[in-house]
Amino acid sequence: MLTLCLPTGRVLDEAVEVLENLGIPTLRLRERGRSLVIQEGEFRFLLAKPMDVPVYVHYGIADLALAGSDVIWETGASLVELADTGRGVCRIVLAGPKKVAARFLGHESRLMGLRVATKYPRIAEAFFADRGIQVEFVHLNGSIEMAPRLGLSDCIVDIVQTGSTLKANALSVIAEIAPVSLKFVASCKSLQLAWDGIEEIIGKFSSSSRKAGDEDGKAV
Amino acid sequence: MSRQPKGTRTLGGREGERVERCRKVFFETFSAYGYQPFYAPGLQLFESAWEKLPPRFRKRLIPVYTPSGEPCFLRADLTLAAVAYLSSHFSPQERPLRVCYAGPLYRAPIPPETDFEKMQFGAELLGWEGQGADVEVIALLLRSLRRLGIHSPVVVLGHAGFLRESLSNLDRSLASTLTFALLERRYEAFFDALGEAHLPRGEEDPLFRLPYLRGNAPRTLKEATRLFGETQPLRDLALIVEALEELGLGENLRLDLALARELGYYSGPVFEIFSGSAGFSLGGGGRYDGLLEQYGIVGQALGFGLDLRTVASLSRFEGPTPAVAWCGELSPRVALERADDFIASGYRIELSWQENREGAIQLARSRNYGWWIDLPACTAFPLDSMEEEENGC
Repeated sequence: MLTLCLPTGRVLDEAVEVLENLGIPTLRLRERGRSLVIQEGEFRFLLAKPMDVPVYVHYGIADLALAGSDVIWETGASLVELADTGRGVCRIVLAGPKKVAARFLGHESRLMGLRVATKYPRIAEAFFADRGIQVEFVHLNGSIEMAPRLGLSDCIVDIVQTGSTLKANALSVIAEIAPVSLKFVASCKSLQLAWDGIEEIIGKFSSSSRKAGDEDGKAV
Repeated sequence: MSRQPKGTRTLGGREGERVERCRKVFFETFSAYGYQPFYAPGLQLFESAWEKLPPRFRKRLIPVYTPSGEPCFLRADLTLAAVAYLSSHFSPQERPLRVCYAGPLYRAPIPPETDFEKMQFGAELLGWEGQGADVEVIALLLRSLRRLGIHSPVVVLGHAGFLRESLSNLDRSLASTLTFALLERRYEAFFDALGEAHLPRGEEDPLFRLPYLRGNAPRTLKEATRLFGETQPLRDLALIVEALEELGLGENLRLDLALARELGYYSGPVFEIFSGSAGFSLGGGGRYDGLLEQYGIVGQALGFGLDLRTVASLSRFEGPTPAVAWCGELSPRVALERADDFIASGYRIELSWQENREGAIQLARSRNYGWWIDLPACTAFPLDSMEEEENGC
């Protein structure tokens, strides 16, 4: 039996679709109610907060998972990235009000001491440290976009899909930090000890991606 | 309240006992085969070690100064210390040399891990180029794990030379991107880089299959030979697999030809150790030559390191039956002699010199022991039933 960890929240439906395309049974998953551990056929599904999914894989509790590349980077979990599902596509950006954006066009000395609100302190720290800019971080867990408006921070590091929430809060993208998508990952242990089962799924993954690519008229 | 530094742990009670038992079993198994115990200083000089450590590893060092003002870091790697010791304390004629060691290591943790202090057991065999060395080290390692009752330990074997050869015809920057992707275990990035390179069909196909060359050893070797030809690294691996199978260790063996170990200096067969009950690798090792070269030694060495605390947490060792032994009015000489008899029959004794035997029984209960011993009567009693006499001296 393989254990798969899936992120709860808005990306769960996409994750279930990915599994369905791979021919993995998802009936009980769709009718899960409030259950967080669901068994179906040869699979056990764990439903966890997106930020916790890589941790379940890191410690080998889950053999496989669908996890966003943002949370993989942020948690630093040691796992194997098997494939990109092409789902949950968005990006991590640095965003701020116009007057802050203008400071980024000048010398870096004008950026020292900026206050940055984020739920990705590790990613944000790496971004600024690489550029030699000393900033102060405010770690928030949600609604990051309102922080500059309310004076809690000068700018934010957060994920953006369409940009409409940024716009609604008078923020614009200052810098693209990294693209984000839903990755199909495995635990280092399971990759070695449960390879036969995993290879079978990866095989289906490749053919399903190829099919999707053909339908979209682009290479996958 | 006595606080402890974040990222460190005190090992005591059953956990301490298990770690000590594991350390003992490893030392016994390896020293029986000529591996000399070796104790390295807790600090390493920056000036001696910096150049020899891979850049990824350097970021995790924890710097300190000695009282004489020398810039050092808390010992982060025992292989370096072992090779420095072997290269300076023994002449080339004395090789091959074998050492084994156990002790704490200090590295800044990579989240989600939080501990920066780890207990490691390791062994190094320096100065033997032949196949026997790999089989010897892996077989002794598996024997130790079996003795500790580790559930189905598995050694996953790869070959640094195989990876290097497989990528050797590619443009250097592409080869380095692919190696980095394998090291980071980002197969999707590996496939992307390969796809974007638009290699000729014949060259591309085996490489696309590379990250999938793992699992059952004979089957994987067969497929790798079909795709890449009968190369020297594959012949090396075939010999190791064959020898380990002859030793009855075939079921504990898997192959992973995309295995790229963390330290960048491996040159030959490399391996990692897993157990069904642990979520991550218990440790690993392999053959290296680059490090030896930096110490002016021509040739190869082989070594591995294991996380003792993880191994201890998985071991099924229960130890001798703990008991409180009441001495009554016996003289210390007689009490110790009688206790020796019980120890010889499988007890671990904690002597109680109290006059009152009820006090001794209470002590045994407070310790959660299952037994107490009346030494004057030479009798052991299970604590849940005072009537049942179990053992006498």
